[in-house]
Amino acid sequence: MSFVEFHDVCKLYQMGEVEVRAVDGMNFSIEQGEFCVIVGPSGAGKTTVLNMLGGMDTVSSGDILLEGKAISANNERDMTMYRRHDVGFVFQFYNLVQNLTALENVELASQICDDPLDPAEVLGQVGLSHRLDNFPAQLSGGEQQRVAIARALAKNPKLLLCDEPTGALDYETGKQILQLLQQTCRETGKTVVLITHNTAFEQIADRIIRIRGGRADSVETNEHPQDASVLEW
Amino acid sequence: MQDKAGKKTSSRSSFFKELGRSISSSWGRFLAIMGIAALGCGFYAGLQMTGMDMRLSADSLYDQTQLYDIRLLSTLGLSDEQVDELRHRDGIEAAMGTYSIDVMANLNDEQYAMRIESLSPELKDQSDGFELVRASALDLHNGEYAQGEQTEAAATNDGIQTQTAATKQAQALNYLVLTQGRFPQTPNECVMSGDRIMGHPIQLGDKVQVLSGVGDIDEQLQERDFEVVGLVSSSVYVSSTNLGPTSIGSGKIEQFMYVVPESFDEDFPISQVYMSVKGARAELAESDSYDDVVARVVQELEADSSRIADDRLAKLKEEAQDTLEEKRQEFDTERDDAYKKLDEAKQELTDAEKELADAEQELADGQQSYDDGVREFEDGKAEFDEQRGVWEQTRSGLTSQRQALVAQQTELEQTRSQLIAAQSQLQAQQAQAAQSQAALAQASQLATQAQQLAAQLAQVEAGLQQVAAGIAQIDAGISEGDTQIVQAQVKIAESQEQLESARLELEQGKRDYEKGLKEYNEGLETYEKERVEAEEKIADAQKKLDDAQTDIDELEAPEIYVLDRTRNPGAESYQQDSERIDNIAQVFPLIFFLVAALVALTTMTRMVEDERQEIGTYKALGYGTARITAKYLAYAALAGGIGAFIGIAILSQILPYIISVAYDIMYSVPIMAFPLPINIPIALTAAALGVGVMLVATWAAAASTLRESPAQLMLPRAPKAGKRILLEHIGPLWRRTSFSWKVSLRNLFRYKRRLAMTIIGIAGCTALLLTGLGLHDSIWDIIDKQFGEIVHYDAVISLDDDADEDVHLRVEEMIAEASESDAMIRTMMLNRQLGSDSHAPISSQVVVPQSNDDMKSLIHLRQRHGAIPIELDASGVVLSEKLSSLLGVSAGDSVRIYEQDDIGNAVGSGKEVRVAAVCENYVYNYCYIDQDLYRELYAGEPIFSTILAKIDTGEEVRSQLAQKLHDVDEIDTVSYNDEVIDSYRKSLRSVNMIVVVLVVAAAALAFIVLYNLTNINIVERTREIASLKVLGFTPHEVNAYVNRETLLLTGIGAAFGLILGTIMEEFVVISSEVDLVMFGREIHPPSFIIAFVVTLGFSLVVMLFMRRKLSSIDMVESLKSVD
Repeated sequence: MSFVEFHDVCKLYQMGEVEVRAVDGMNFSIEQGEFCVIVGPSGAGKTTVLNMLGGMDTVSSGDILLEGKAISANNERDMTMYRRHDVGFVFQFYNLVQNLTALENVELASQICDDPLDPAEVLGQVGLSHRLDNFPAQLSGGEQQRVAIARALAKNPKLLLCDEPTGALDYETGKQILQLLQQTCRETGKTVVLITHNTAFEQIADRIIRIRGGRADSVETNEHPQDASVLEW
Repeated sequence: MQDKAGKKTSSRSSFFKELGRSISSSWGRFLAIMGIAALGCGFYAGLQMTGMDMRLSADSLYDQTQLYDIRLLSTLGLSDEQVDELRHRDGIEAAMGTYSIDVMANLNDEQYAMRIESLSPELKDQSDGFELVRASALDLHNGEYAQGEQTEAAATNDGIQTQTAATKQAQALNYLVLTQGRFPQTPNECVMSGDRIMGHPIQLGDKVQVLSGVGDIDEQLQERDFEVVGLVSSSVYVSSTNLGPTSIGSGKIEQFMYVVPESFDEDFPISQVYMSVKGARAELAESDSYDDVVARVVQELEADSSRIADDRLAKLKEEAQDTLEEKRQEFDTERDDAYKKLDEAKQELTDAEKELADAEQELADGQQSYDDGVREFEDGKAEFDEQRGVWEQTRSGLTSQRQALVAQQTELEQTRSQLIAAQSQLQAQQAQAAQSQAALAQASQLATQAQQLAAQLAQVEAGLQQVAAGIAQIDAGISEGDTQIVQAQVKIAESQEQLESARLELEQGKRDYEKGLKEYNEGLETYEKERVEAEEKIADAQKKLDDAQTDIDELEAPEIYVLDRTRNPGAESYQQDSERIDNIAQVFPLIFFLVAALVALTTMTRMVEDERQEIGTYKALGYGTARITAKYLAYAALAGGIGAFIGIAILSQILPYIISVAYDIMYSVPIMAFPLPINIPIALTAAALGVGVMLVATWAAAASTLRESPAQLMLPRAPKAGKRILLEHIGPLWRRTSFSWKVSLRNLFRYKRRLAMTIIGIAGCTALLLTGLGLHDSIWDIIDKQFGEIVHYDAVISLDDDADEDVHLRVEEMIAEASESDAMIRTMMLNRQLGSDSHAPISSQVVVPQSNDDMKSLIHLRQRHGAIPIELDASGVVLSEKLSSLLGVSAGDSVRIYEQDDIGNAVGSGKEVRVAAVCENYVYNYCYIDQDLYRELYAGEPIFSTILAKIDTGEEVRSQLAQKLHDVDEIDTVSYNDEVIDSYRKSLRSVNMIVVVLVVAAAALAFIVLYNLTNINIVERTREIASLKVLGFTPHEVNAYVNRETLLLTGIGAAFGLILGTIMEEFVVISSEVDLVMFGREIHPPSFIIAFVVTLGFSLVVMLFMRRKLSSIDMVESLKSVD
């Protein structure tokens, strides 16, 4: 049994008369502690996959199992609890609460968890111990994304899900963020799932899932992933 | 050209298309602006029009009932000629004189101060005309003012008759509206008010008994008992709580009745003339132009009033002089008669005196002659007695002579017998001798012897004859003597008898004389008495005549009052009430407009922000700022315009209606029928204000964004930076605040416009609620405090001023029997006017208690602040609070107490007195005076003829007591406070309606503001909310996160609202208070709580609405990209 398993997962959207199959029989699995990259072109359904995995969206059919538990069978409330305790999200546009300082943004997440990490410590880990009391607007994009990562990590989730985390960042900063994520995966043993359209990122992944047309085109494991610091794209 | 035009059209059409899409894509926003515009403009226009509608309604009532414009009142009445003269004055359209008096009357066992007025006497001799007046009653039942004149005129074809009737009719004013029954036809019928809310309702067939009035009622009225045959509504008395002042009873007219003129005494003069002014009807009642038209005539009349008074005086003097002259002539005749009679009596007496004197003389003469007679008689008698004595002697001499003669006779007869015997013997011897011749010798002898014997015999015979003659002579003598004696005796008896009768006669004469004398004396006495009396009477009469002359000479010109409608308490208080609403209308909508501006500002800012990129695109395409701004202005104008239109259309109907319904309880001015007129200037002003405010806000919202360059606009606006707020510097407090609260707190200060909008809007909502509730408190406090805390008596029994102690005791005993607490006190109650240096005199009740201590149990004199008791003493008067504030005086200042006349004017120069304290009081104006102070002030004894009593034993006992008390002649009036309370309750019920209006308005305001706030909050922070959801916040936590802010703002707004509401309530209370009533000055604590909680409640309801919106936020969609 893998850590994460997708079994014939389908997601249908009803767009007026037309039925769109965003995900159409997705099958893959991810092992615990892996740094997994899901790549695919726009519209391949990768974000839908991530959303369903993160408990933000429901499946139309099929099963998603986390540690053998079918999260796809969760009701609304279980789903919320799942998001609260098991998942950490990092978005392309950070989605920080503008009105809270870096520390407070992290605390916002940690306060609702059962077993959170110390927010200041986590911020230290992402290299922001000197900006604890800054508001998001006072931080650079990379710093904001670090806060977002810290916020996701502070919940001490089983799964860290990142949706194009470098999409809004410049090359250098993006690389630093990738480094941070890879490092986090390595050091804390958290399973990280990152989606991107950038195939270059395949090099740093333990597992690469290529998606096309709502299906997993190929699932590969990379025995010797590259270090993010030397990645170039 | 064509091309250009085509372009223009297409550009315009795309403009409208875009506008249309903007609207259809954001109905919530559009509706919010519409709603607040509707509320603001509608409220403004509705409230403004309410006063206007009330005035229009009154104007229409006054016009259709031909309500007078000017009432001219003369204290000495007016003559018919003067009425005619007034009628033909310049500017006067019609004039109608009526008879009128104020009386105390009994109706359904209650006593009322009642004004009795005649229906138009112009028509008193015109039965058809009179019918017309009756028919001209406006038919309220049908909701129409059917003017009988026209229908009547149409019905009759007799043109001339109708015309005369109509001419007469044209002079009739103050038409009554018959609501039930019919008009009076006979002097003992009447119609009364059907609108009264005081006391028991009147029914047809009820009897009215006139008890007393000013002066002799019987000289004023033909009848004292009337039957109610109809109920009317009179535009002269539109206020059912304030019919006007009077000098009798409690000083206020409590009822009115109309009777036929014949109910008044023939000689009773016309009391007043009602007049309508040419051109006044065309003007809106009580408007400035109306006032101008009427004021001119009033001024002329006032200028002329001294002449009118002089004319009246001259006429009265002339009439009085005529009457006096007549009386004087009568007097002269009567005096002459009296003197003539006296003289005759005198003459008679003189005659009688003379007669008496004659009689006395006669009597004296009689006496004299009687005395003479007596003396004569005595003399005669004595002579007689003497003579009789002489006679007796003579007689006895005669008798003895006779006896001697008789003896001689007897002897002679013996002798004769012997001689005869001897003769016989001789004859016998002769005879023998003859026979015996022998014996011749013897014969001769015998013959000789015979001869001798014969001689002897002859001798004897002669002797005998002599004796017999002697005897006869003696007998004759005796007999004569006796006869003479008898005769004398008879004579004496006769004269004695005569004397006796003379004496009797004399005595009778004396008695007659005495009687005559007595009669004479009596006659004399009577005469003297009568003379004195007559002279006194004459002197009296003379004096009366002189007095009358003096009176006539000293007769002063009557007071002429020229009273316009401002002196009609009903019309005036209605007018003032309508103006009060105008005042309130000036202030209340301010809140709505302010909130409307803020709602527009925040909403449009949001809209501009939403379309930021679009604006950038337009700018990039070369559209001008004006063109782009125009879209938003058009959007706001459209939303505001439609809202204003709807709001004005609806609220200008509903608000005036509701408020009119509320006032309808107190006024008999009919409520206008739907649709109520829409006052175009007001509507346009309201709409212009509302839309204008929105446009300015929109312009302000668009301007800042439009200043940016297209490039900047194309980029999403950087999220507004978070900022530390002041609160964070209070470390310990901030550290203990949860994140959600931190966010909420920071958010509050991040969006200042929204903060302002919400706080002001919510404050407005709470303020409206508090105003409504506070108004309710204030108004019910009038009753609750006045009759619950201050006044503890519930019966007022007033006795005649001259009722003696026994009556007082009897009445008090009756009360004590009926009451459990038997708390009562005697007071002196006077209707007076109080004035100060800064304020004209105001009607007030002066109360002088017999015992200041006893009064404490029935009237709690206390200061409102702190409820500190006030002691009444000689140091000064205690004024009720409202009175003192109206007069602008406080403790230590002085006021003047004036007498009050019939029409509510202060008379004389008044008495100045110091104000010792001001006491809490809500209903009516009172001035409490210590009795010693009263004595000092008026140099007289107070008459404690009014008993205040607490009768706490239920209505039944009370009405029984009332019955019993009515049987006591000396009792003037018995009134119970519960009637007053009842009528206040009825009239105050109207307030609840206003409270409802305010609550509904508050709710609408709260919903619009909170909906708008929450809506913007949610829309603006969709990402934030989605992030929270992703982070695993439960729906509940998400709601709380968003709503906390709303709640916080609601709380702050409501707190401000409580302050604002307190101010607003005070404003409303002060601007809607009438002179005689002070509203409660405190808003009760529960009202604050209710206002606060209800506001929070509104906000909770909005939150419930927003739940769905929150839960529908899609995490996936929201986080996809930057919006």
